[in-house]
Amino acid sequence: MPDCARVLIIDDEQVIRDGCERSLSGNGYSVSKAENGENGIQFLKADIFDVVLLDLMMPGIDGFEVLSWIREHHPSMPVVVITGFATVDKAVLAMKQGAFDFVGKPFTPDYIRIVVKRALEKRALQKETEKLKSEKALDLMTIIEEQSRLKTVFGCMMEAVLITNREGIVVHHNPAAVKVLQIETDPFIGKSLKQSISDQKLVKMVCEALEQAKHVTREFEPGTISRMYLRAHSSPVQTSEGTILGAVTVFEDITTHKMIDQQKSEFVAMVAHELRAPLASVEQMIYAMKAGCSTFEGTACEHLHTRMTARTKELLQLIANLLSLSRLESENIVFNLEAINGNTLLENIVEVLTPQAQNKNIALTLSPAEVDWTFNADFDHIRSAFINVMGNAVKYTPEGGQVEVKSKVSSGLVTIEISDTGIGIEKDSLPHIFDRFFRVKDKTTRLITGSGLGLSVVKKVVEAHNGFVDVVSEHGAGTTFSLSFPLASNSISSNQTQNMSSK
Amino acid sequence: MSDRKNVLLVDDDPDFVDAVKTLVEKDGYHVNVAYDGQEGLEKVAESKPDIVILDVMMPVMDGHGMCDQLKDNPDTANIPVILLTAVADHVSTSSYTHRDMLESQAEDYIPKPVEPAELLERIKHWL
Repeated sequence: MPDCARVLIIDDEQVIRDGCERSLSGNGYSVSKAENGENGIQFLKADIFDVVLLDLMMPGIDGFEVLSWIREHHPSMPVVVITGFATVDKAVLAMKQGAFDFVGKPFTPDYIRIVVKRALEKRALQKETEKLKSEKALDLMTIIEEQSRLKTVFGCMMEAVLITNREGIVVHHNPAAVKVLQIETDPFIGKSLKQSISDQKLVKMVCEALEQAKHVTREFEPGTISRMYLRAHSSPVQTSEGTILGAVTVFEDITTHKMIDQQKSEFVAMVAHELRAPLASVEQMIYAMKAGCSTFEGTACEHLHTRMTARTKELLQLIANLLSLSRLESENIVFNLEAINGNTLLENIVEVLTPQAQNKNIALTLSPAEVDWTFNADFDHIRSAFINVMGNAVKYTPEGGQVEVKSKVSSGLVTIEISDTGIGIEKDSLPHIFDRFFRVKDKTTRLITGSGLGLSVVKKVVEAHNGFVDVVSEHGAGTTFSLSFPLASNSISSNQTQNMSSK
Repeated sequence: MSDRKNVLLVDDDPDFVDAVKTLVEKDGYHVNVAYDGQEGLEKVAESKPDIVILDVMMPVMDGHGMCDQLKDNPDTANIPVILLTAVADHVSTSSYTHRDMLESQAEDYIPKPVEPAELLERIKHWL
């Protein structure tokens, strides 16, 4: 019994009111008294009570009106009606209208105490029931929400999911399953997996999971099961006692993975070939040297020696380029940017390449821009990019030709043009020159060797510096490479270190 | 010149060609060279070799292409052909890709680089 249960007595007779107060107060109830219906309702509006004792026969608003008010506003509050002598039928009417109990006047203190106690017990029970009901409702809501959540996830997943029972009949699947898998039957649910999907490997796999109670993973090539490359995982569904109810199979789309794997394999094969071919030639020359040096004149040996050295150098350059390319393509590359004076940089590079040009009687000239220009670049990378392009110009220009290096500044951009009077590039080859390992191989380029990686590296470096490369060429007439970069703004100081992601 | 046997050597790498030419000439043969299959066929017509040594990986027309043409032509079908190559040559520039030695009509197949003694022995064998 709650301590301090609050009782409201509504009765026009003071004797009754006081009598109730006396009988109940001592027992841990707090009693409020109202002398008529209106007063009683005021009390009820202002406060919370646990039980109401209500006289039916009162002047003004009579008991029935009060009762009906209480039923409307506090339907769960027990009302005990007090009736006068010989008005049992009124009491019965009141009960029919929702009163909990009735007492007839006069009543003993004991009796009223029993009645109130009973009413409060009922109230307590009611409260308990309501609490359980709402808890249950909450649980149900939680379960429904949970189900709804799972349903959403199940429905939105990209991976196809199939659920089959012990007999191999499809009992459930998600929408992705219909998109990904080649299903031969309509409907899908209710039919055996064997009927609906003609790939035997899948049926065998699910059987294995069911029979051996273990996870099974298999890969499926595009074919009878799907247009895509799939990796399927089948797991048995078991009760806690270990009874197998069925199997759930999830399908991952691994098409992209397979494509990447294939590209990787092809690249590795290409690299191996590009490394092996020059080495085979070097070794062949070593054989020739062993055999020929004793017989032929010194110049044959010298020639072989020169060529072996050149080829080996080129191989080392190829490997360096491969490493550069790999680093440029990795996401973690760190560029050490600094403000570089463009004219000075170009002067240095032209100087480096001058001996090579002179060997072929090629006029290598530099026309610096009228203004001094600076740009933010990683010195080593940018230097190697320029050496590459200028080196190509010299390499692909026959004896007596010209290579011109010009730089132009306009609207925040600098464009460096490297033009040669060399063999030029055919229209068909032009779109491929930045491809890895691509080299033009015909009569005119026969004696020119290289890694085929130089321009791939150049393009990556230039683009990583927010620049772009352009080529214009005519077969037999010459080629012009244009490298453009944004200029450094005047406020940037030297020696910044930055992380830049390469694209 | 009439009693010296005529060898045609076809390979796109000039250094390789020089090195092998040196070795073969030392053994008393006359060596002509070409740098791709197309040029090779022209040289066959010109010089009428007694044996052809052919690299598989070449631009314009590769070794398999040239070999097929030689064998399909009754005039040249009897000239022995030795194919040379590094093992993995499925990235060919011509339309002949990934040809097995077994499918080829060539008489012999030696991987690069070739050991001088072995090359000379094979040449002697096929002539």
